[in-house]
Parts: sequence; structure tokens; C-alpha cells
Amino acid sequence: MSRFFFFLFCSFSSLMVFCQVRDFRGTVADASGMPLSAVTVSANDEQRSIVSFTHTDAKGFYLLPLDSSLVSCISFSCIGYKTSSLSCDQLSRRPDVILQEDSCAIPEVTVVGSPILVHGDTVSYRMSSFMTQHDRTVSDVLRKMPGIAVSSDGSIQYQGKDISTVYVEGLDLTGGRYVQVTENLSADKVGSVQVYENHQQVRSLRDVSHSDRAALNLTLKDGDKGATQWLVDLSAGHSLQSGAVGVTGSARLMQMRFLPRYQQMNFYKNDFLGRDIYSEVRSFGDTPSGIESSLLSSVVTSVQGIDAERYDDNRSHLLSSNTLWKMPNGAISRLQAIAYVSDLHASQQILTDYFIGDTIIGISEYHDARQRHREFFVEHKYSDNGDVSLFENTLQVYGDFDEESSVSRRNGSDASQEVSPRQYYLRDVFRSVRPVSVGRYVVNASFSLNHLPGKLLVAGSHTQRLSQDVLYGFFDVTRIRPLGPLMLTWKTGFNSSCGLYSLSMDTLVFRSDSYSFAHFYTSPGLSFKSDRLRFSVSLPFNVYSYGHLSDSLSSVRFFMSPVIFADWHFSASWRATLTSRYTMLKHAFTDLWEQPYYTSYMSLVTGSGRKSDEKLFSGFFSLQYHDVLSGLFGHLSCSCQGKSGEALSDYAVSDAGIVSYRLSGMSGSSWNVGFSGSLSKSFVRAGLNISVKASYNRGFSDRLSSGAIVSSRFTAHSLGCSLAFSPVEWFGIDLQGQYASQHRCLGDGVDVLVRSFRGSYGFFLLLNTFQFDVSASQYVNRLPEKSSAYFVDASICYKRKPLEIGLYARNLTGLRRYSVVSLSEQYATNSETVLRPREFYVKFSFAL
Amino acid sequence: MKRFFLLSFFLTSMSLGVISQEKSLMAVIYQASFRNSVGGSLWYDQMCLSVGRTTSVFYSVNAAKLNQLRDSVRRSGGDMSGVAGSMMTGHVHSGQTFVVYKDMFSGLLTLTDKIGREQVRCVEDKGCYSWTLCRRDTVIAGFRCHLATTLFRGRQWSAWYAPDLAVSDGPWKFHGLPGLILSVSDAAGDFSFSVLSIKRGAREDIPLPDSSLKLCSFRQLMDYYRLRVENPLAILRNVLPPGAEIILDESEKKFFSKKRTACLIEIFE
Repeated sequence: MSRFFFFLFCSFSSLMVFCQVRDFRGTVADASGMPLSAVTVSANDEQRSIVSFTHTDAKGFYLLPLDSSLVSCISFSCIGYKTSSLSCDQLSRRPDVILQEDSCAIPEVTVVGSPILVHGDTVSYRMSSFMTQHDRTVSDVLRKMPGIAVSSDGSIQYQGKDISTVYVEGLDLTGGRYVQVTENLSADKVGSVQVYENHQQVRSLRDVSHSDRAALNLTLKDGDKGATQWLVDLSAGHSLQSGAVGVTGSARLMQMRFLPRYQQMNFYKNDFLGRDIYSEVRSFGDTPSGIESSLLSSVVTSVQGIDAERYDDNRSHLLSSNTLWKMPNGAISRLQAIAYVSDLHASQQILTDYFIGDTIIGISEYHDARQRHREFFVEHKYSDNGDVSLFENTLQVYGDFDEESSVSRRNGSDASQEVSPRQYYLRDVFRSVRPVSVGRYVVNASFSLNHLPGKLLVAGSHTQRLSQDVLYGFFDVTRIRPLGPLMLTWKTGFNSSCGLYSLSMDTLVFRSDSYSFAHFYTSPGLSFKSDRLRFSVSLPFNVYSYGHLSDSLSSVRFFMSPVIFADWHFSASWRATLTSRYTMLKHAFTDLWEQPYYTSYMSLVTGSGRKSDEKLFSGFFSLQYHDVLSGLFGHLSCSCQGKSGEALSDYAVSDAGIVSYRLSGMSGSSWNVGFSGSLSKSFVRAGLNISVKASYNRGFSDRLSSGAIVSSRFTAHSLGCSLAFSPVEWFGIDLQGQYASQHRCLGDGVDVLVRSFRGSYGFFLLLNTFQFDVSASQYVNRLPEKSSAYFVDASICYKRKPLEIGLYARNLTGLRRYSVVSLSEQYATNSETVLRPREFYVKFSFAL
Repeated sequence: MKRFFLLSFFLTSMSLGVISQEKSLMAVIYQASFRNSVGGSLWYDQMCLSVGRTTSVFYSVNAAKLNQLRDSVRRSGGDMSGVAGSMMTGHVHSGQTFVVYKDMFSGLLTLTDKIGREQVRCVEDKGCYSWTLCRRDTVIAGFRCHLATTLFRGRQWSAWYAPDLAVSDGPWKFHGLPGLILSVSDAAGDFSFSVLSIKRGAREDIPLPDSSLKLCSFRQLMDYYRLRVENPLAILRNVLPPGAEIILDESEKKFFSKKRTACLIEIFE
């Protein structure tokens, strides 16, 4: 007992020693002994953070009560004098301080108006610092900003991660379909681009639900706010090569208005120049739940590694309307409508090598295909996104009327193909956050109704119809309440779907299938948020119930899927993020095979039996750095993904060259580890922006080869760099290069290495009101034979605001064919695509 | 007698020392954004904080330019309508009319502004803001900054200050942190000041508030600001000479009849 009291005594004594608060008092004077008033006396801890401070009075006297154990030094600073730092002991011995005059203490001339500013979680890029005369749209300038990357489809990444949305003046006019803003809004209308790091759109959940995605906000220049802006583009031209496209051109009519309470952006575009204008209205936001995709595949395969405008022979029309009202109570009502019509013609020669055991079976195909795409989409969103509550409802209606027809030749025999993979859906998503006396309630609900009436020409005039009807529902309630510095969350809910599939030949239904799926879960979680650390962990308990009615199969599974998220700002420049999750994937089909009803590439997935559940682990770690003063941004991330219980399918190639897949009943696993990083630096005064990015991926997966499981390995790496240099207003160069390599070792003697290089080089010259642009692109593939393609484009424009007239020439080298190799575990494909010919066109642009 | 002369000389020089103007050591330009009415749009201005050893003055760069232009036009006998025309076309911006003078020595803060045509001054004790220092840092304009928050007259403010800039001052009335405030904004997003540039002062005199101006309380000034937004016609009528009438066209009537609620930087309960 006496020992216990002795221990207690010692503990309290030590506590008393460590928590001793002392008054530091004294005077501050200059070298001549004159007392200095208004001197800042600040106590700093070991991390240089100020823990306490005071100022000297008119007599130069200071009094600073301090817990000396927390303080490493005490600083005396005053404008025009050298800062003096003393330890607590030094100050105790000599409390009167003398400051020496220093004319250099004030920054000589610190011209700020920095191109990049940081304000908390917001990084602001000044547009004018990165914009050149050459740049037309916001996207053109975003590409040069360090830390920001723009993909060829217009999607934007910040520090290696996709952004969630783009706001204009703080309002979310387009949602995930933000490319229409960045690709159409003129760069000279925008004053600054703000990046909201770790942006959680629901304001009332910012302390609970953490996001690792950023959002952009475009702030307009004063003169362009409120004014209605009109843009008119018209171009027309002709191809100058035999077997060519013929008349080409494009048009754009656009109207925009951005007011504090009302925003509108409407445009009509058409394009006969091969550009993928649909990417402007494609959603890059969160993946919507409850949307089914068609089981019928497309005849035309996409061409990897080359821009669509090089080969697409298209006739596309796009009508988009976005209107947003901000109501007096702060709620937002947004209406989006999109109509898209496109006719596409593609000619492709495809050679596919299937790896079966130690043999390779080659199939040659030729398609001369026409795709007709008709699509409409309407969305209305009402959102009252307050600081403490949320009421949000989103209603979506979608329909498409796709049709594809092709004259195909497969291993020498001709056939015609037709497929109509159509899709309609109605979807409603509701979210609500309501405060209660202690904490909040969050309610999420959604339902969707999918109808996919697919049609396939089988042979002659016989048609086969595959109808998919899926009803999906989802509901959960989350209770949030504070628990000391933590927030306790408890989510409970379910999602459920039921589907009906019917397959008919002409009018005779010969197969009908249905399933039901229910998923119940309850998930306790904890989250924490401070200035530097955000952390959340949840442990969902899941019960999956699955019923396959036609075979009277049902199963109930229990599964735990922990999710961890942590984000740590360990200094103003450095940040680390960690996410990890473990999930189970359930599929609509308990068994499947791809049965070739006509050819392998228009196959139908159907079947019965049992499919094992796949378990997926994924982890992601990212380290980000930014130093806005020097304009240096960088990130390094590591991702890891493992899958077990993956069903392995066996496949065979018939003499007629038809490939069929069937589940083998065996399961395998796969692992993938990837590293990626980027470094970008901006030398604003020199007009130089450089970025380098690299990635490395390594993994293995099980595959079936001649009925046995073999392990295949792959390694892929890429290295890319880009440089934009515009030292003077009238001249600039733009260089980009990317090297990629993919190596697959298939485990049974097949070893394939594919390497590719893509480079683009351009410069512009501005002479008074005339602008000359020349750009060249180079594509090189090696498997192991080398194939390469070169394109040269040039233009001359007369620019005098608001008018621009230009003469454009594309594909001056007149290249007509391009071949590229893609690689998977089961086959390698070498596709040769017919390219657009040499073209000239004249373009008029008018902006008001 | 000799002692009397010495004493009077000493007192005179002391008093001269007290009232003599300090030289500007540092000039900090801020981008100011402010909202006049609730739900209205944000307005922007460039404002300068000229800092001396113990005094500082905070004023609108645009307003100062406009005053210079008016003075030069007046001195040369020019037409003031030209100045108004320049303002209409946007070549000259009017800017904020208030000026804030801070004096660390006397501990007084003076704000001068116009009420109608009359220039007034409001004097208050600088006092101390109850700043809460937060353990968050960032980099603004190349300077490491720390966050501090305060509740001041009805608004929650967040300020980023730079300890490496040894000036306990900031835009508008803000001061009292262990470093220059480079950015400060209120939680509602109605008002903010963000640094644009920092330059060494040109050693020009820091002006002192004109003590001959009529004294007025801050509450009176805020009442005037409220009236200026909510009933601008009443202000106009006060400014006009007696007997003059205001004739409005339809658009002007519509503009003035619109109901507005003033958005005040200081909220008095």
C-alpha cells in the first residue's frame, strides 16, 4: 500500500512539474534603450506553432503567462527589427530583450498576386498566369496547371484522382456532366480556378462522411457575370483523297448565362469531323446504382490509343440544356436535358490470336459497320443543401434506340449482322439529412426500373429478342450522434432487385428466367475530423439472399466488409490518404456461359447453376505534395487489389472460328499491385509548365488452359511527360510523349510483349491578328513488328474579337490505315482501322 | 528661466514626436469582397493597408485614385461630369469610401466615412479581439500562415496570419495576432479580404485621421449603412438641395421599390 501511495505521490509531483505555469515578464527596447511598443511576443512549440502570444505596451513591457513545458522558444518580432528568439531558460535569466534594427526585415519587394494560392482546403489558380493566346477553352488552360490533368475524353483529375464536379460561381450547373462547361466556356471569361480538396458535397455531413475527391469551382471575371454570352461556330470543308469521307464540317450554337440565382447553359452542336462530342455530356460523377447494362455487345470495337477524330466517320448532333435556379431559401432546382443522334461508319480488320493451351488459334474478321445511336436523357434535381440539413431528390429518365448493322467476313465467309441493344430506365434517388436534439438522421432511398428490349438478327430474316426487365430498390437510415470528439454512425438498410429475362425466336418464347436478390446490412461506424486528421471506420454486417426461380435455387450468405478511410495533413504541403475495403460481389447470374447464337462477338450471356461468390479486397494509399510558392505538385500512390473465388471459364474455338465460353465450376484468384506517380512544376514567369507521370503495375491471375488452372503474370509500365512553353505572348510550343509497355507471361509457354509510344508536338505563332498552328502526332506500336503512324495538322486563323476565321488542314500526310495491338489474358487482338482522309475546312467563330 | 526654456523645448519636441506622422514601412494590397444586401451579389475592391511602426491606415485603392482624379480635375477647372462618365464606363471604380486608422500607441481605432455629403469619424478603443489560435497551417503568397478565429460583432471570422511578417495588423479593423493577417473571411461568405501583394513602403507619411470631422457612433454609422441599402431614396432626398425632386423612370422605380435587407459587416443586437 505504501508503494502505491509513493507511486501516486511521484505521479502527481511529475504532473505538477510538467504543468507549471509561469509568468514571463520583462521589457523590450531597441539598441539605444528606447522601449519598443507593439512588439509581438510569441511562444512557439517544437512544431513552430504559436501556443500563446502578447504585445508590448507603450513602455515596452510584456507579460506572458506560459506552461514552459510546452514551449520550445519565445520570439520577439517587430517590423523594422531583427526577430529575436530565446529559450524559456534564457528568458528567465535575462527577461529584458534588446532588438537590433534591420532594414531588411521587411521583404524587399514581395510581388505576390501569386499564380497559385492556398486557402485552407482550397487551392486557387489564377487563370491569367497559365493562359496564352493559343488557349480557347477552360480545358486548354487546365492542362497546364500543375496538379491538374485532363484526359482525352475531357475528364479531369487532381493529384491523380478524378474530380467529382465542376461548379461555376459556386453552383453545380452540370453535375457529373461537367465536360460541357470546361470544353465550351471560353478561357478568357474565367478569373480563377479553385480546387476544393476532399470535397464532400453534402454540407451537413462534412464532419462525418469524408471524401478523397476534389471539385473545381470556376470564378468568372466581373464583366462576364450576369451577361448572356453567345457563341456561334460554323465550319465546312471537304476531304481531298480518294475513297474519302466527302463533305465535312461542324456547327455550334451556344448560349450561357451565369447569375447568382440563375444559371443557364444551352447548346446545339453537330460534328462531321470525327470528334466525340458525346463525351461532353458523359457523366464522370459517382457510378449510379441500379442501372442495368445490355447483355448484347457491339459489333464495332473501339480503337485503343488513338483519338476518335482520326478514324470516326460520323454524323453527330447533340442538344444539351442545363438550367439551374437558386431559390430564396437557398435550395437548388436543376433541370438537364440531353438529346443525342449519331450515325457512325467504321471499317475494321481484326486479327485475334486465342491462346489455348500451348497453341494459338487465329481468327480474322472484317467489319464494315454502321452504328445508329439515338438517345435522350432528362434529369431534375432538387437540393436544399444546408449546413445542418439536406433534402435532395433526383429524378432521371433515359432512353436509347441504338441500332448496328454490319457486313462482316469471318475467316473468309460473308454474313450480315444486325443488333439493337436498346435501353430505357426510370430512376429516382432521394437523400435527406435531418438534425435531431442530439445528432442527425440520414435517409437514403432509391428505386429504378430498367427495360432493355434487345434484338438480334440470327440468320436470314429470323430475329432473336432478349428482353431484360429489372426493378431495383434501395433504402437505408443512418443515425449520427457525437461521442466525445468522435461521431458515431449506425447505418441500417437493404437493397433489393428482381429481374426477368426472356429469350424468344421470332414470336416463340423458348426461354424465360427470373431471379430475386436482397441485401440487408447494418453498419456501425466511427468518424473523426480535426484540422489535420480525418478518419472513419465502419464495419458492415451483410446478409445476402439470392433466389433463382426457374431452377428453385436460393442461397443466403453472411459477410462482413470493413471499410477504413484516413486522411492526414501532416504539414501545409504534405498529405497522406489511406482507404481500404473488403467486399463481396454477387452477380445476377448464378452460372453463365456466353453462347454464340450467331457469331462470338454478338453472344448472349445466359445459363443456370451456381456461381461462387467473389470476394474483393482493395487498398489504396496516396501521398500528395504541393508547394504553391514554387508551383510544384506531386503525388505517389499505391493500390492493391485482390480477388478470390473468381469463376473461371473455359472456352473453345470451333472450326468455323466461333468462340464459346462456359463456366468450368472451378474458381481462381487474382492479385494486382500498382504504383503511380506524377510530378508537375510551373515556372510562371518563364511561361513553362512541365509534368512527368509514371505508373507500374504487376499482378497475376488464374486462368484455365486445357482444363487446368495455370497462373499468368503481367507487368505493365508507362512513362509520360508533357511540356508547354510560351516565353512570349506570340510564340509557344507544346510537347507530349508517352511510352507504355505491357508484358504478359501466360504460364503455358506464351509470352507476349507489347510496347507503344505516342507523341504529339505543336507550336503556335501569333503575328498581329494572325495565328499559325502546326501540330504533329506520332503513334508507334511494336509486337514485335513495328507499325507507326504520323499525322500533321496545320491551321491559320485571323483573330479579332469577337470574330475568328480560320483555315484548317488535317492529316496532311494522308495516312489511311492504322493498326494497334491490345492484349488480354486470353487473346491478343491486332485491329486495323480505316482512317479519315486528308481534309480542309474553313471555320467561322463569333462570340458575344 | 533656463530650466523653463529647456522644459518647454523638451515638451514641445515630445509633443511633436507624438503627433508627427510615421513613415510607411510596408504596403499590403488586399482583394476585398463584400455583399451589400442579403442574397445580393458580391462586390470587389482593392484595398491597401499602409503600415508604419505603430500606426496604420486601411483604405480603398480605387477610392483613393478617384479622389486624386477629382482633385486634379477640380484644380485644373475641368468638368466633373467627365469623371462620372469614366465611372459609368468602368474606367474608374468608385471603391469603398471608409478609411480605418489604427494607432497602437494610443490604442485607438478611427474609422472615417461619408454620411450623405458629410464626412464623419467614429472612434473606438482598439481593444482586443478574443482570437482563438488553431493548429492549422497553410501557405499564402509564399508565407507560412496559421489559422485564428474570432467572433466579432455578430460574425464568425477566420483569419490566416503570417508569423514571419512581424506586424500585428490586418485589413479593416483586424489586428492583434502575432503576424500580419493575409486573408480573413467571415463564415457566411459575405465579406473577405485576401492578400494580393506585399511591398516595402515608399516611406510616405501615414495620414492621421482628421480630428476636425464630426464624431459619430458606430451604431449611427451602421444605421446609415442599413438605410443606404434598404431605402436608398431617403438618402438621395437628404443629399439633394431643398425643393429638388427625384423623377424616376419605370426601371428606376422598379429598382428602388425592390425590397432589400442590408448585409452589414458589424451586426449590433
